[in-house]
Amino acid sequence: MEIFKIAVTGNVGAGKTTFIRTISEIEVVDTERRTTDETASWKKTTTVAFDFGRLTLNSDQVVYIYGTPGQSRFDFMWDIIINQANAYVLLVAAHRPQDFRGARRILAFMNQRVQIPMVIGLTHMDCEGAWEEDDIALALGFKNLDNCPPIINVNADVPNSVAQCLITLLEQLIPVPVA
Amino acid sequence: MSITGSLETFPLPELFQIIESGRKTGRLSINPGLKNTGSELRGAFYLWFERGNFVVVLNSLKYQSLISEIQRNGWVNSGLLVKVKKLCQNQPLGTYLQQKKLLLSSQIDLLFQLQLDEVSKLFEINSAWFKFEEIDSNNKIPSDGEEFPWEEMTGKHKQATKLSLEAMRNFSNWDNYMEEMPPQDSGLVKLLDEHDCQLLPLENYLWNTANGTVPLQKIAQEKQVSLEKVQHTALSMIFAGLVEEVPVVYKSTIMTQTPKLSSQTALVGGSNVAIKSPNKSKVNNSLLNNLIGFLRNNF
Repeated sequence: MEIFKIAVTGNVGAGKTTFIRTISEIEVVDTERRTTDETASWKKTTTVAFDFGRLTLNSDQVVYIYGTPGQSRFDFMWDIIINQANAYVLLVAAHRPQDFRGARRILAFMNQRVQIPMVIGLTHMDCEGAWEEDDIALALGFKNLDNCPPIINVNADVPNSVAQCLITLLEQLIPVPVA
Repeated sequence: MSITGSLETFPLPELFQIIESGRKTGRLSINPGLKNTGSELRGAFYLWFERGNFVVVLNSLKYQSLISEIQRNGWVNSGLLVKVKKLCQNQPLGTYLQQKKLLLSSQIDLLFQLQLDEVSKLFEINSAWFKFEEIDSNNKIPSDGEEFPWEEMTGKHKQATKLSLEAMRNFSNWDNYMEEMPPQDSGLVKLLDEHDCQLLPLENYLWNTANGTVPLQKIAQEKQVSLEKVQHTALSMIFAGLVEEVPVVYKSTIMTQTPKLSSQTALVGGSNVAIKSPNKSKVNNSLLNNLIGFLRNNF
């Protein structure tokens, strides 16, 4: 059995659980619990372990999709998930600039741990207060936008949007034909 | 294009970092809120940047502050200043006065330092709305047509992140930044190969040990300074875009749900840390093509 593993990461409320739930063929293994900290004022639940979804391509090939835990500080679960991943999606809520530094911290963590293809998915771009894509890239620490990984707008509720995000991610793994 | 928000949720040093990284030219308006406490700052502040460099700050309650300061010091007589101000078009007043040998370079430096000092105080504001607007092709702020305030400008400039690094060195109250503070068991990694900042000894030590393997707590012990001091210094350097916080503690457990990949952990310098894995794992092209086709056809 060939298994391809994708990690979905991002701050609390970036849309990780929704993203996986939207694309998974199975009921996402739900590890959400009622929030009890300052997050509780705007998000009723958060992921305490990790979300897991699956896509079966055929009898020999399957895709596993993992979401990282929702809380901001890293723990052993992060390492488990990302060390198994073939590629990852970083979701960033465009209307929550207070989370950009957290997303940058995740990027630094990922860069330190793994060297795998990634894509930045911007969620909530239609919300009031959403920042422009270029400014978010700067806030995430990409001084040279030419060297920035692919950035794509994602509506985590919409299957086609999630699929397009994953296609953008996967295309980085396909070898470019030599002319 | 503009960026708006609250300094309560998006700290000023981060804003400076974006302005510098994006080499932005425009005006940053800061309106301290009524909730703002512990500060003597009053009125709105307008900071102007040119290609990511700070050039001037204006306060809505101070009129002609540069001219006032020159007059207060008695460096140029008032009548001459009024004439010069009219002649000074599209050029900083300070530069013009220096070219005409009416002001010395050291006097210009002093005037600019006063502005830097004023900006430094803004970093301690705990409640304010901000708006950064870039100038348009006519060199004007789109929302109100305002241009660079040439008569308030010295002609000097300073990199935005260097300004914030220096401002944060003198902080006494870090309450506004507690949520951003790197934890004691975190380490730092460099975001740049080299820099041109003049670092203080502790900053320099943090820079030289920023390889992701040394916890801040250990640095505090080695340098015999308080952990808080190390954390504050680390945060200043993070805000200056020199380093980033990373966790150094690594705990390994086995995932039972999926086949385990080869371990990508190692002992580094006696600390149990994860290291960057070379896991550009070989993925079967047929799987990739099948998956892309699956996503295109089914969603």
